[in-house]
Amino acid sequence: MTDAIRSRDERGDLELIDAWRAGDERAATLLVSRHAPAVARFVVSCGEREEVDELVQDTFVRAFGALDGFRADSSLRTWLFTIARRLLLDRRRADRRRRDRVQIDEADAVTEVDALDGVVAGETERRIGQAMARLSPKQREVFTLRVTEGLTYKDIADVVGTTEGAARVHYHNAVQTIKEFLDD
Amino acid sequence: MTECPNREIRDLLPELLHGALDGATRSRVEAHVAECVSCREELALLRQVQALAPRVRVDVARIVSALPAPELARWRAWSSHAWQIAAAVVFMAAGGTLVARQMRRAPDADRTRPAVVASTYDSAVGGTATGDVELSVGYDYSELTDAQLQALLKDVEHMSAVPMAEPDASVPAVTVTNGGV
Repeated sequence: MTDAIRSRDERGDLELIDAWRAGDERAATLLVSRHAPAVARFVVSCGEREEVDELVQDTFVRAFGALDGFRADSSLRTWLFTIARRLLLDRRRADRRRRDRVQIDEADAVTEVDALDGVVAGETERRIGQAMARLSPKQREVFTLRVTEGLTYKDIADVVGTTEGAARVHYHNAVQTIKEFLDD
Repeated sequence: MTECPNREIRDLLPELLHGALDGATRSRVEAHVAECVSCREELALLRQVQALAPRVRVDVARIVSALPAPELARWRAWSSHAWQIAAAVVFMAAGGTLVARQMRRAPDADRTRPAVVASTYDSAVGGTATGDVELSVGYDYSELTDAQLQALLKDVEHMSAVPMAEPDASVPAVTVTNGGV
């Protein structure tokens, strides 16, 4: 969400959801503006390069079609990340089936691409990009959600389907791996 | 980079980065970071990673135009529940019909329930008949354990064709008529 939009409407997500249900289409625009960039960042950080727009759109369509199932136990953004990740995994499974790949392993779902390729500029940034490329898919997801999106371990656990403790371990292992790479 | 042993503070660095700490905790973490080279370097690294986050342009209008209308979303949710309710009703109705049929059949079934009365055979004492027992063969044998079934088979093997005791009058005995049971 841009700061300009945020400053115009500080209503919480739940209020906006209620407003949308009552027929306020502007509430939907505010919700999408608020969360779509983060969802897109997450999707790209997971290594997705193609049809990011479609995936983000599908995430919102799926979420708005099932808002009655949103229990607000976690934040709307966390829920959106969870849906986006699920769609991403589904898409990759479908791609693999198309390629006649038999083994489907969720742990390999996030591709081993450089999460920051095409974005890095200087030497330091390039090195950080290379370091992140060395992370396991799960470590990269956890690290991105923690550092880039600022999610708590509990929310991260909900998104990636693990425990808070495991998320904490993935995060610290990721930091360690990046530091070791940069120190070499 | 040397690693700071204070894991609690290191755990809070992303929150410090995102300004998500309350006043007291923030002061505590900032004071530690000011003294700790390792945490300062780690925080700097996290800042660089955050700054490198991919910037993706999102077409908000396109996404919003693809969203279901609130009424449609509500109908979809309702219809989803409605299907579940309908499925439950059909399931219960089918189950009820089945139970009703079983209950109608039950009296007849009881009248024709076969029973075999035999003596238990105590193999441990060399094949001595130790007493009478009813062995019902019909509806309950599926509930027997393997050990019970083995015992039953042993008993059957040693069973005489002629009952050694009077059958229990309350349980209809097996009757053979014209080669059928």
